[in-house]
Amino acid sequence: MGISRRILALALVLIFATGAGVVYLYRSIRPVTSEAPSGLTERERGYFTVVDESGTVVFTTGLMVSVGDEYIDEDDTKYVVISVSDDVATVRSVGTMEALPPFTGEPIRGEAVSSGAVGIYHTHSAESYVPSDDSDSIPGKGGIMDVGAALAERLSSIGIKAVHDTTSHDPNDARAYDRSRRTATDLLKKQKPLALFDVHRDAGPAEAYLKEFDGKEVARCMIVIGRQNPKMQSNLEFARRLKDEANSQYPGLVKGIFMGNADFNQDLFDRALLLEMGTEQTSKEAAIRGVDLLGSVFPNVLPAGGPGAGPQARGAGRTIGWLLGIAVAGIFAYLWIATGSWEEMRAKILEWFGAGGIKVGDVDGIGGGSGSDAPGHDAHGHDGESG
Amino acid sequence: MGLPIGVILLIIVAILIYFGVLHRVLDRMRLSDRAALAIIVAMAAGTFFDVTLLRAPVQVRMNIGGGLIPIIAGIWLIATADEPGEKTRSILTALVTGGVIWGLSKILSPDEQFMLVSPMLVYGIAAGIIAALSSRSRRAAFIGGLGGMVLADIFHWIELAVTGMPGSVFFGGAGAFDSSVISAILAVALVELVGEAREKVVKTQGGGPERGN
Repeated sequence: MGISRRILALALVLIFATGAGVVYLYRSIRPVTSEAPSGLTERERGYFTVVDESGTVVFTTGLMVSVGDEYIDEDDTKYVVISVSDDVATVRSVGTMEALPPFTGEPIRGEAVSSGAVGIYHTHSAESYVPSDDSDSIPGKGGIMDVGAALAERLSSIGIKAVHDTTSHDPNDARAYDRSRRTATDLLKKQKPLALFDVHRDAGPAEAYLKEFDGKEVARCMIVIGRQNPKMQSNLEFARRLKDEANSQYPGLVKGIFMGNADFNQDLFDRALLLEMGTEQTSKEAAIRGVDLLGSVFPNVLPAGGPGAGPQARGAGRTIGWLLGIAVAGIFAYLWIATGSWEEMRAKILEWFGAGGIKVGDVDGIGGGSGSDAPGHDAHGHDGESG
Repeated sequence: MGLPIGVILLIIVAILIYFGVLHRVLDRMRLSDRAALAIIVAMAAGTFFDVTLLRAPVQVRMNIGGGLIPIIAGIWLIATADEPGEKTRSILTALVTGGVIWGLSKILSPDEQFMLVSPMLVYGIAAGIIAALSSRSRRAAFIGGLGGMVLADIFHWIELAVTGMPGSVFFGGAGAFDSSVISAILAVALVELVGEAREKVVKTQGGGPERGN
């Protein structure tokens, strides 16, 4: 007992020493990559200016940009990031996107729906607008919450049930998306949403987002999709439909779709999008006007048939292919490591399907050891245990 | 209007693959097929139920499928470990993993895109590496991956309580697909792969049929 307590105490010391040491070391060696006005956490790392090969600015964003990321601009031109140097990323145009197939689902078109809702939440719940909130970050109750509330209000006013979850996911650390994943799952479980929106604000110059509509300054929207997301194709299809519809009514309201190297919890649902509404330098009021316009087009892109309906079947098909491909590749990789030869791998697969005629123990390295001890245990004799 | 057939198939395939892997992992814990299946069914069903543990000053909730059942399974695995050393190693793996995850959450960028892989996967990989280093035990890996994430949530709770920052704690809130479950699966898979690879190396070098764990 005494020994166990000592071990426990030692482990606790080790945990905090490791954590604190790593944090200290990291902070002391972390390179500063851009100018950072003090006190504004979002601008500590500045923003990226993304240019094409002739040096023309395509867009700016506070999101991390890496090689391979993609961007579809307002005019449906698609770009791929080919290099990143400091705060400048270079993109190459790879052509224009093909037009989307017609909307196969039955859109809501202004009628109230009896089932399903639009879920709205904020992973970065502290994000705020300096001109309106006097800070770019207010933990737990950032200005972005007001933007989410305005979107919910707009949707409710046109007959679409909207659920605005104001759970705080602060502090803004590497587990913020992990925490918001739980909120998103909660919304999916309880609301059976038609769509799920993680509403953020970007970082960078206000001009990149501002545009006048009906004589009023509006913060436009950039839709963000995670590339490390098995439902990317479905989400992208929905994003493009939203962009097309918004821009047909309010040209330029959606400035583009950025596909970054992340998941953003979009694997949870095939109509899950991250929306960037303005930057910390735009006013909150401009961002609210932006979601007000954006919300008004939702009836034309959300399926009236409820949460499961919609046009995402094509994207789902691709995703199934990927999932199956990854699963098969994973199984083969595992078998290759476990058996080390094609013959043994083949014997193992045949044995699984009960067609091999090769006893487990017949093949060296496959059935050795203690043998399987229960149906369903693999033939390696691994008992999963100890030692 | 029903679900599009593509979406139905997608859901079925994803669930089959995920729960197939989870079943395999539980299988490695020396659980019988029936016990492993019971745990998976309980986790899947429990995903739809939450309990509130505390309302103020920090709201603390726990999902049954993603929090309570895996935690009970983890405690049961510790309790039924064959050797005292195994129990100690499992608990130590969980504690160290919790500390490492907490440290990682502070040093890694809050923006997912800064990392090569999703932070959710990073935690599972960290747990697997720690388990592989500590004992090469699949049981320790499972407990480390799961317990490490639970501990990291407890550290987050402490952080909120100490700083007074608005926030909430939701153990296993994403149910069967929560990062704590994914982390446990990844950790076991990593130890499994390391064990297999090591065994292969030993065998090809003419060593005895040393078994991993």
